Amino acid sequence: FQMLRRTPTPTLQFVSSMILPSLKRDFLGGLPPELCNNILKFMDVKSMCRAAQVNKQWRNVVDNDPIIWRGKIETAGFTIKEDEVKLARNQKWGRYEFIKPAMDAENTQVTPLINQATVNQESSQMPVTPKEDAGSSRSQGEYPQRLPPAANHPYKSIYRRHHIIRRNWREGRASHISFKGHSTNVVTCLQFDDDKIISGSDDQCINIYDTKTGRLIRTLEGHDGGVWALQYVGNTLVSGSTDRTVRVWDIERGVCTHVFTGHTSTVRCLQIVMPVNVNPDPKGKPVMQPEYPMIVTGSRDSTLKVWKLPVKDDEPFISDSSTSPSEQPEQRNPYYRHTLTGHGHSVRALAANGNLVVSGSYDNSIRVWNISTGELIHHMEGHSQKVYSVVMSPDRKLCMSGSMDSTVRIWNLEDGTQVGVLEGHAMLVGLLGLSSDSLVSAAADSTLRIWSTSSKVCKHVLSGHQGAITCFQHDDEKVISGSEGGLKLWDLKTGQLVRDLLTHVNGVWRLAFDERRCVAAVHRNQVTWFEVLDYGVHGL
Amino acid sequence: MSKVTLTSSDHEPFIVDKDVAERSVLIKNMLEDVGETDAPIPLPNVNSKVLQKVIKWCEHHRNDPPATAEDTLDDRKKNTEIEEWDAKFMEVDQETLFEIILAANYLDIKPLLDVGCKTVANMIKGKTPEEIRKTFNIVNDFTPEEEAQIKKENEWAEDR
Repeated sequence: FQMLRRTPTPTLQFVSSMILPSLKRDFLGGLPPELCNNILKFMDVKSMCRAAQVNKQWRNVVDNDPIIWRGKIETAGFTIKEDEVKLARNQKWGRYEFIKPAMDAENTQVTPLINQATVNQESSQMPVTPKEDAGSSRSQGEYPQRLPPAANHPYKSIYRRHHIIRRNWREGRASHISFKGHSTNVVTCLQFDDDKIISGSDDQCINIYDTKTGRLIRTLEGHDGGVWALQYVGNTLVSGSTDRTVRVWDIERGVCTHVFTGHTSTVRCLQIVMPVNVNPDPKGKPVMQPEYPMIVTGSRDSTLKVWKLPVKDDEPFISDSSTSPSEQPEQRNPYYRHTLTGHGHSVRALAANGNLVVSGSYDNSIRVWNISTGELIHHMEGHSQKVYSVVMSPDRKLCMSGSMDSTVRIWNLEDGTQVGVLEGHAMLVGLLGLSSDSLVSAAADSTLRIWSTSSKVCKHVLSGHQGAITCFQHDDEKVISGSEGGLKLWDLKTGQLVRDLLTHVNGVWRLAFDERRCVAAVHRNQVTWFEVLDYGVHGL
Repeated sequence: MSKVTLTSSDHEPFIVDKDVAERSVLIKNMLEDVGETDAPIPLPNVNSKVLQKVIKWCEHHRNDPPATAEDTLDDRKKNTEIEEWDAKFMEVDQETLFEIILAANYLDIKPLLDVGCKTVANMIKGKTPEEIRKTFNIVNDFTPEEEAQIKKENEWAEDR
């Protein structure tokens, strides 16, 4: 030690530079794979991607394990679609030498944007365009030392894709197409996926559009009155109308396969109820409720009806509409199950899960029914005016209702008691939405409110719209709402307005969004337009 | 309190309380298999310097509630923090940290293994590839072309 003290600094620095590296260890290079994975488990994805650039061995360690990347996908809250693993492999997602243009903005007819904030301005700055890329991968001479992909699994590239789309939402990078539809009529209901947008309108038609191009694929005609409710699962579409019928359609063939009569007034709301496993033990034998897919319809005739959902190859059935209602035409319908009677006025909203359906009515009450037996389970009173919306949380055994009395009420599904009143809105609460811990309500007072369902307090008031909220949807991160003037995007956690998605519209009829796109039916100068914002663009 | 004797790879005996030694699932299982015994337990994969460190950790954490076998999504979301005492405990040179991780794995002490792995993860976090190489004295074996390719492959995570 004395010797070291007398040594001049440069020498010490030299000695130190010789000794220090030997005290260092290459953790990811030196530890067995399972321990490397344990380290990666504690790393964020950005750090992992930097670690993958350290050297060849680190790249392999970081990129190679599908379980690590599947874990990151789950932690980030991304959901992988059924065919996504296959798509990722086939289209070689994330391999920059082979960027697949099929899903890119190039293939979409991008019309000039109305809202400049959403222009995908940066696409021109992308360093490598897909075209150049494909070219360079062919000229092998240029890149003789191109490394093969480090991973055999597509999960890193799937993570990458979801990450980029989420970032595009945050940054407001989207391509935008607009097209007219249903002329000047109201769009009453809307559902979409990657391939199609299906809209129901009071022009009596159901239109099917190509999500990517906006092309009208077909129109489903048959209802004799405005269409007020629709939902599809797979290739089966169910619609309800002011003509009092429920119709079932084959989407691909564009034909009506079933017409159910029995309701004596407008079919105002409906839901397809797919069987779910209700066994609380996830490892136990699945207990499916209901036994098979059902349709529940709610009507202005103050009843609900339960039908079996026709599945592929089931017999078509067209009710004879000439019989008078008193003859109970549904009795000859093999798909008819129950009529749920008890409400004293229109059934305005319903929410179903498993064997339970909750209905909200203009008679101010909420009722809970068993779909399979048709029995009334609870009759819940408390609202002083019409009920306009209901949602259900089967996990927490709760349901919520929004009413013209400007309150939201929380009810216990097991004993039918009221467990909370959420007050704050100044007018009709027409819309409710529920995600893992947040309940969102939208009212005619031009605000939305975000509530904690556990503490029953209002966490945020979203104000900024000029008129009654006509539609909204939310997920665990964001809320999108439509009203006179346009469409707004809000941060669910902070309650802050993120940006206006659409401005200069007279009103928004309906909106829906998924992980990648937001679709809205709006009206501008008395004409109905569809607006599709696609965040699956920049950098994919 | 009954005692257990542990012998390190360099034949040094360590006498510890049974509940401290049983923080190691390996030792706990061994004790259950052999029943009451005074015979020392040989640990041929752990030297005395590291064993001493591990025992120090086990003593501090002797009253911790038993860890659950399966980590849940919630755990993973908030698991990057290290409590103060553990952070201080892990202020060691890389060689020792490396040995602690191996020993924790061999002795099957999951919480200690996790603290060790978190420490390594935190050493990597927030650094550029070059800084990571410097931190761990790693040689870059990519050609400039390969390095450019890898950079491009991972560029998306940079949040630009």
